[in-house]
Amino acid sequence: MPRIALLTTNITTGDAVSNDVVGMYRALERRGATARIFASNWSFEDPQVWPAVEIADFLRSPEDLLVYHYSMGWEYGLELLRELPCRTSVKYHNVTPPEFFIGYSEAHEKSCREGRRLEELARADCDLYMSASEYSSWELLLAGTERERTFVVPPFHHIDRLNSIEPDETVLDAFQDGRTNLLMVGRVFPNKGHAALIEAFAIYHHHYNSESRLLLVGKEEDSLAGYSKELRELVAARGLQKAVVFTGGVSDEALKAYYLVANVFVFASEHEGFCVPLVEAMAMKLPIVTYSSTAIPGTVGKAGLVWKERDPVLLAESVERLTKDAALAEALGRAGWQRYTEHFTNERIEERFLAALAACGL
Amino acid sequence: MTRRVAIVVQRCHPHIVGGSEALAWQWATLLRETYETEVLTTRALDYSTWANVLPAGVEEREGVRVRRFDVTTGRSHYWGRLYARLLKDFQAQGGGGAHKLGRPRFLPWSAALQEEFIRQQGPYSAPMLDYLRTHQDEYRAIIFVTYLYPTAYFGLRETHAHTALFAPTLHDEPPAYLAAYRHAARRASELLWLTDAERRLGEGLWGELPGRVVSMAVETRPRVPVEEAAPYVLYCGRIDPNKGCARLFEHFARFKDEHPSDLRLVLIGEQSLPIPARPDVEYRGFATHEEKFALMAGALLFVMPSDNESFSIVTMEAMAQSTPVLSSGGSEVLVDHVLHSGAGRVYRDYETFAASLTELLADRDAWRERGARGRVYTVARYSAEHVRARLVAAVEATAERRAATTTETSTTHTNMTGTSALISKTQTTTAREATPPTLVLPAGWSENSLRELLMSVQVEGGRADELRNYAASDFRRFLYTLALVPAETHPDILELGANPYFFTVLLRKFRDARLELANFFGGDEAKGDEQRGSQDVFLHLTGETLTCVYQHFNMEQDAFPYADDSFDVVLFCEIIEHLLADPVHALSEIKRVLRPSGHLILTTPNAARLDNVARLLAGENIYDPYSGFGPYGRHNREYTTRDLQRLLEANGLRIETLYTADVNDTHASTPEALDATRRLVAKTRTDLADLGQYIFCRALVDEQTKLAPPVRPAWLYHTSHKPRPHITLTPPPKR
Repeated sequence: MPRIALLTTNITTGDAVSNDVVGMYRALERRGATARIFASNWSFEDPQVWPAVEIADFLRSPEDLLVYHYSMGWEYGLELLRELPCRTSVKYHNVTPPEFFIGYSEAHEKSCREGRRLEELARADCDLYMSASEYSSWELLLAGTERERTFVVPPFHHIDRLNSIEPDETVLDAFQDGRTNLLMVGRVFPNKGHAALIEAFAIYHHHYNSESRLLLVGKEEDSLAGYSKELRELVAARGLQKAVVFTGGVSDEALKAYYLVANVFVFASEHEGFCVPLVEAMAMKLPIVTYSSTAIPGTVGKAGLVWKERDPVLLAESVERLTKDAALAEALGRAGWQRYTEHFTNERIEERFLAALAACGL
Repeated sequence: MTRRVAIVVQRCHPHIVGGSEALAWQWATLLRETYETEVLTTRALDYSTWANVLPAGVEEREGVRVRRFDVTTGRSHYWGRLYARLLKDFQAQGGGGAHKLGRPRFLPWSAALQEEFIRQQGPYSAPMLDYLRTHQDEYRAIIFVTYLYPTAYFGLRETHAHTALFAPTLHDEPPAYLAAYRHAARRASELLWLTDAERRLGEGLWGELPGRVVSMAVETRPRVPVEEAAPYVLYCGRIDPNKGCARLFEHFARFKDEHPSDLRLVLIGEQSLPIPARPDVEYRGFATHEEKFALMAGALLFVMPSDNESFSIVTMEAMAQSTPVLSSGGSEVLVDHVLHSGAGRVYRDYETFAASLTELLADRDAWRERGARGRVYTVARYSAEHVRARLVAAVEATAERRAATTTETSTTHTNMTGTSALISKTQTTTAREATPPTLVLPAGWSENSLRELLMSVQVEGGRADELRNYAASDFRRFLYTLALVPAETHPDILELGANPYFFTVLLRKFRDARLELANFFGGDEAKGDEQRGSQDVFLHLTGETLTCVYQHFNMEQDAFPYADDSFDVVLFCEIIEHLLADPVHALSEIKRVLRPSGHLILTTPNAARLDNVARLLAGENIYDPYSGFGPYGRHNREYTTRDLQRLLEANGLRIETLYTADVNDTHASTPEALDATRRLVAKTRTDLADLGQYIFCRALVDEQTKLAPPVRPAWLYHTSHKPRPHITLTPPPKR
């Protein structure tokens, strides 16, 4: 029976990478496979994580499989991919183009530049390439992977957990107050289009509905303090200090509560490899209004308003329409939920993951 | 197709006394004679936790298969806090009753928060939902009972619309103001209501929905009355201030003090209120089932003082024992029962209470007659056989719709919010509708208040009692017709045959329109020239007087005295069946005076109504008798829906909506014969929608259809030339 190693650089509780790696691990475990997670840094004990340097002791047979979860530049990972004497595969989420970080963080810029060496991934000639979305898949194909070995497998996620936990009720108390809540979920990173969102919200708030607020849920990093500062200056310049809330990183309980109090999910990101928060919004029947870019139209499909034009008035008017037309908001929310149940539940994703493995003989 | 039917309910066990659980079980036992019947439920007994205590799996009970599934989300303190939040938000927006103002005010909760509330309320059963997802096609229909719980809410989400029936057992309570339930209701093929009042509440909250009042069965077997020395008024039920008992005691004591007699008040049921220590008030404690029925049968009168009844089983049981009833006017359901049955009176205060008792003691025969009417009403509506027949009809209608739609891609749901119009129908690809739309009343008006308004109409020269009877019996026809008149615009309307002006009153009150009226009372034929008349109409209820000016002409002979393109709407109601020779003349004149994209609204008795089918089957004749008012006084040619569709379409009128509906309970056949006929018809054709008493139709005229020449089809005219009747007429009434 072949052994399967799931390898990644860093794995910490509750982030997108760990949700995906642990999801793959659980799927393999349910199938009775002998699987282990390897990483260089980790922060949890269940399931057990093994040091990356011990991976060669585990993968000894040519029948064994390495699944390298690729999310940033990491020379050691590439070496293992090239040198281990077993079958190899890559799970590629995406890597943010470095240009977004210019002027904000040299470290991020450098790490992303290293991470986008997709040609090297393709040259490693793996048995299987799995990407999070059609968009990411297209990047791999452009870098030179073979179509027959390149599959779309959306990332596993924590939506089942969100559904089962109790929300942080202090969030409900604070924001379930009759005002219209626009929600955006995502790290405060320069590719996420916060400024464009704030501009659109300014129009909505000042011209359509002053009883509204924008909830920006996502971790902020000291290394990107310049970006955070710019956003706060923009908020002040538009007179939105009382209407825009930066929550910082939040617990799953609080995240759930933010989804429960939200009326519309708004999104203006300029680069996404898949975008789990969009799927979370769909699972919550939250109507989505977003600009189209990178993987976003593929993830949302027809289950949301996806605008090609980056026009803040259009975004504001879309929100106005949805908050005024309950039937439309409900229909869009239901369409999202249907898309989630048909394509993006962990069960559906597990089927696609196992199908991809089967295609390479496992 | 499969003969299995499932009822989904949150709990099911003989020890559970809850109303919706009892209803689900009753329906299961009624359906088991026709179908392989199953109850899909949970392992829970106690609704405060929904803990899994009963064994999972399948058990048989009294011929019904019960499938129990694990509860995966029970009820926690967390739900209690969500409920407190709901109550707080409900109060903050001014409480309930908003639906009565025409526009329900839903709680401003996100869909996710609403579903969180419903799921956490429990019992949420993931395995039951899996079962529904994978096994629903094995069922002819799945009936979801009670709107409140996740079993129905999420179950409806997993079930195809063409399989699901939904009995919401709706109450006017805070959770009813979650819009999520409105969306859930739209996922069902049909709604099954317990009462008209529940239906009105539901449609006030959820908008227009297909459905029928199925109700629940009550015991109707007549019992031998108890022998009592002195006459008595009976009350059964909890003796409790919430049931209006304190007020009842006051009224009764005062009445007896003012009108001494040997009349007593007898009470049975659980006591939670002190009973006056008077010799003429007797508390008998608990009674057995049989004792209760014998007491009901022996009572001079059954009294129901409660304002909070959602069905009132005991009142129906008493009515089934031929006992007249006196009921509080505070409960819409009871008012409906009493008004529709004629089984007694409604009281609102001491004066009306005392007047009814005085009348009862003075004329016992008249009240015995009322009691008899009550029994007829109850047996026809609430006997097990009739409730079963309605349930079976609902299941079969669903199965038929499903068979009809299996070739179509999928069922779509429209999201209608239109409560501003009486009825807002989205345009369907076919003009024919399977079931009549449900009536939505004008904002601020109850059905009873509207009926009262029309019954108070008095026309110059008309007989008061005839007009009252006409208004009462045809009231719902007027409402259906009104619903066809567009509400949004400010149309020019021509009302043909306006006398006795009931509909004119409704148009004046509820439509912002310019009205032209026309009548024909006979007299010299072929007048042609303009002739005007006028009649005064008094509204006793409001004290208003309307002066109705009309043109006088013969609609099937004369050119209408109006210019081309004069009207947006022409009402041609209850006329075509009276015409003698040339209905197409009337239609072509109507087309001429209508503007392009104007509407013809036509109503007429349905020749193929259920009662007619039953009468023919019974060997009876269905033709209208000759009239003392002459040939125009009778129905000379009635139409079926197919007739009408063919006639209008041949003449270039585009049918927008066409359906039949019952408007009253007046039938020549017995309820049993009607039921038997319906079952028989169901065996020979799939479309049972054309059996209503009246046909309601709205058709559109456009630029092109206006140019279409008059067509006199051979199935309606023996010869193609236009005949001219030579008949001397005496003035007929409108009816």
